[in-house]
Amino acid sequence: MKRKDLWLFLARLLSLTSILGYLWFFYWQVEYPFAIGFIAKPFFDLVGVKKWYMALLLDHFTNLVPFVALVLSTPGLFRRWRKSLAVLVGGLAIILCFQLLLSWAVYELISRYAMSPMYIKLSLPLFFVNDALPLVLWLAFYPKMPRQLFGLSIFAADDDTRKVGKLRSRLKSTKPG
Amino acid sequence: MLSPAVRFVLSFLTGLIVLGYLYAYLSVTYREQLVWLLELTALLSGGLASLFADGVTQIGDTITYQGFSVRVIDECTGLFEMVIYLVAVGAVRTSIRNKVLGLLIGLPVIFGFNVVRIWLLLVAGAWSFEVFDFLHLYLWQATLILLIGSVWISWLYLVVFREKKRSLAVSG
Repeated sequence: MKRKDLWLFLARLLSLTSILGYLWFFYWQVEYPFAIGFIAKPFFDLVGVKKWYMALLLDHFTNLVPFVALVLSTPGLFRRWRKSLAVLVGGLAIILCFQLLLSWAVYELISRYAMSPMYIKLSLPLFFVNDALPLVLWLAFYPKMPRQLFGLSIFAADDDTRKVGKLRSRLKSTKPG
Repeated sequence: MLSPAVRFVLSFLTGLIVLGYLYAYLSVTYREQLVWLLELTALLSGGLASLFADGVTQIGDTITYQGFSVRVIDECTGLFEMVIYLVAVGAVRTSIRNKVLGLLIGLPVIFGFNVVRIWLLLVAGAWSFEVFDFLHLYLWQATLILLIGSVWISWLYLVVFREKKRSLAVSG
């Protein structure tokens, strides 16, 4: 773990989250539905969505901002620019797909249950997943990053245990007698 | 066999859907029973605000400061964040003892952070409604990352990782 990496990551994350968040909130969020319209419209035509419930959804479309902030704050952004770019494009594509699926689900649920408790029961878990998606995707794309930044081998734990076991058995087998 | 990272992500997402549904079901079915939590959140946020400023009033789930009122609703209690944290703790492969410890310490910390968040929103709202709107609507996502992430990583670092280091030292 390099302490400098951690502080740089946190400083970048805080500043980027604030700057991108500001830009999103005051400028981009109005344009966003129009910008993705060329994908959304054919998809909605295909699945039969007749109304895009933007009042319910737009606040949750914000999830792409923390994801971008997380990727841009990750150490090695320029050194491994190909990976960074692939993560950014791939992650944003996944987020966009989920946003469209969420829009579809919200339309179907409102059509069936209106704004009833049943709608809340069924839609809330989807909003949970949508809102947690940036963090989940970042962890999935950078599984070694928690170790690099925080010294935590959460995902490598099993591998470490396996390696220790292998080393021990090798040591035992090489013991004389 | 799935890699540990993919396994974590899959169990986290599955847990989120299952617990999310459970949370939604319980909060809709037992809505009346949750009123005390709304009022407690408002009471603590209002109490915190009155430590630093005069003229803060709190009635039920509503806090007022300099003519600006905020009403604590279900989403403002920190339960959302708590559910996500609970799932994140559950998705890590460690002992039940560590998980219980993580919840016993982490959930009150998240609740405490949430009280501070509402206090800051109240101050921001009394200053400028635009700033309040930005912090309230956008910062949910940011706090999700920073708040839950920092508590979760602290738990991993202070409880799970420390125990792993200790057990490696003993067995080595």
